[in-house]
Amino acid sequence: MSLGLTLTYLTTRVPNFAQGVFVTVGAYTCFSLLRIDRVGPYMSLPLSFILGGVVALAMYLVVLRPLSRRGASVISLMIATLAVDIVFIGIFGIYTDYLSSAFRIPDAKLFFALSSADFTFLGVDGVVYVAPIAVAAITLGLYLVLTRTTFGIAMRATVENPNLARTVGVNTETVYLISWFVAGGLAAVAGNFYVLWQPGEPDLGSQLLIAMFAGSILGGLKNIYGAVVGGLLVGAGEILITTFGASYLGSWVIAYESGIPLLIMVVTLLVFPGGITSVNWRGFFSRRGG
Amino acid sequence: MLPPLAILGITDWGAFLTDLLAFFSIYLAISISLNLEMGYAGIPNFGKVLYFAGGAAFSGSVAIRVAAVLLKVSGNPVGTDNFIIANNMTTMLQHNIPVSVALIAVTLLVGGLVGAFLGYISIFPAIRLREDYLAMLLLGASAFFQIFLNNYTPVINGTFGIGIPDLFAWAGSYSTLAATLLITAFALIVYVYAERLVRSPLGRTLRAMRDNEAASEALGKDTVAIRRNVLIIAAVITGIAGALFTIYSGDTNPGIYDRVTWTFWPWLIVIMGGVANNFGVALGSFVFVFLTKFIDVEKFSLQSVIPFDVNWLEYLAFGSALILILLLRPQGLLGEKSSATLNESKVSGIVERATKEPERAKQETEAET
Repeated sequence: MSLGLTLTYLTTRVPNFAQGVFVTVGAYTCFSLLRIDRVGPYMSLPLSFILGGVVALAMYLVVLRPLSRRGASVISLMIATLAVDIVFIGIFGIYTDYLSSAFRIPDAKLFFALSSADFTFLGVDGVVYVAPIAVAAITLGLYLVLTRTTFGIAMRATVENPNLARTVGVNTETVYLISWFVAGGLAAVAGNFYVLWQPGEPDLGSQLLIAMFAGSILGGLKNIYGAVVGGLLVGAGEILITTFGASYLGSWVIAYESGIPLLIMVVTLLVFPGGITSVNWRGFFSRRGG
Repeated sequence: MLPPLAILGITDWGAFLTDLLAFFSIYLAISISLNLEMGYAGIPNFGKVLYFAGGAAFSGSVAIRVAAVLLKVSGNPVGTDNFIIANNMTTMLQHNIPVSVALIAVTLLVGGLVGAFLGYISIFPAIRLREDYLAMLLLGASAFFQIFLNNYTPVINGTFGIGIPDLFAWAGSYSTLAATLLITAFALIVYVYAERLVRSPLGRTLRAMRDNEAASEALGKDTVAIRRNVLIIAAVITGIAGALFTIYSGDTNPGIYDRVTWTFWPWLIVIMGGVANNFGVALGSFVFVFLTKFIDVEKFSLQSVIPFDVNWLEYLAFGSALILILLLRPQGLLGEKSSATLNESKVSGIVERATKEPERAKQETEAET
């Protein structure tokens, strides 16, 4: 999820407050396919990716591109992404109403983790194995594309300096379009995985938004690999801090679990605003050693 | 007595108009404060709900505790018996105007203080961070505050919320109207204050800072101090608005303080009405509140036609409306007016003199030779 957010931030220089929408799209693709067509949660991954990508692409083409062409400020762009988020609150609401009335699915508004549809391996749900492998594969794939292909080089050039990239003949517009598609797709895939071990509801994406931003900021908004590290750290931090906090300070800590990404975000912004990948770790360690 | 006339499906026009006025005033106060921050000082505050919820929740909590002491009511006023206690208090307050007025004052004071405190905290990120990072942080902080209210029961009993006694019970059947008039008076004060502020030298400094921070610093303006002051003023206004809303609605509940209602709608109002234009913001508040209240009344007739909850259409409509405004008319209904420091006749007089001066000098030199 953070990966997608960083990708869109890199290309349009605006924090996308509607990133949560793509996650919800993935979550509900998984849910609908499972309940209506009895399609397994892993079979729905490609469709989630495509749907999330299409929504992201539409958002870029219809809202953000015209706005930035008029030279709108960052504030207007942020407001526009918030507006898209609001529009989708309505759309998801209508969709879930439709699901519960047309298909008689009583739990469309709030459903429990779909772990029953998951396979188990050695007594543990499959998603525990599949999700990390998928993240690793996506990261590796992105790394290969970015360093080994012409398109990847064109993309990095666009990020570094759009004007220069255009001068040497890179079609920056295509690069933006593909980045948005991939960003939306990845977020939707993340949503698809998420509902396999956590409950889902229409404003799922909005709730996860803070965690996504925390991951992106921790990793550094200007670095794609940083998002992977940041996302992992925020996820791990949330669970570790809550567990330790609960055993030392009492169970009331658990209620504030979702506050932990915010805490991480504040600390990151105050200590190293560029994110951890911006810190010169080698210099840091050698200074300590010497 | 005439039977109640149902015009446009509204039977009780008095209640409808009171409700309209109350919400208009609340949104006017919040939007004006947002306009001060965003339109004039250039601070994009995406955490309006934080100050509003802080003012509303803490003022309600303190008000009922103070009431318990003053009226000597036993039991935990924010516990499970809250609603019974609040009801008893309302009965007691019916003939006790001094205590009622004191409680109203306490509520407003607490709202303002909590707003000031939260505003003071948000100075630190607001001065250091760039606008996009600030937006993320404030959005996150307001989400966290809602979690805090949901879980920390001593404030307003967690997710259940608390009821507070009707502080205008002495006004009898006019109690809602009295509360509404108090809110309207507050909104009016805020409006006049904001208008005077932006026309003052400070207002010009604010615009200078927004348009070119380096230049205004070079002219010796302390931009950090100005930002800090504007943030705190706006936070106090929003906090008091929260307290007034608690008095008006008679209860406070974490579920009310979502970011759509209290952050996004004020942004919509400011952008729709016109950034950096207080009259535009007033117009925007009126259009928005009128539309929502009107839809509220009329939606029941639509409900039978469509297969889903009508409320979703509201999100759809207002979200798309904002996108359309940003795309087609980014300056809003009324744009920012250029501020004339001198009136027009004076300016034209100066221009005239400036153009005639060289001519006269020329004539004089000609006459001498």
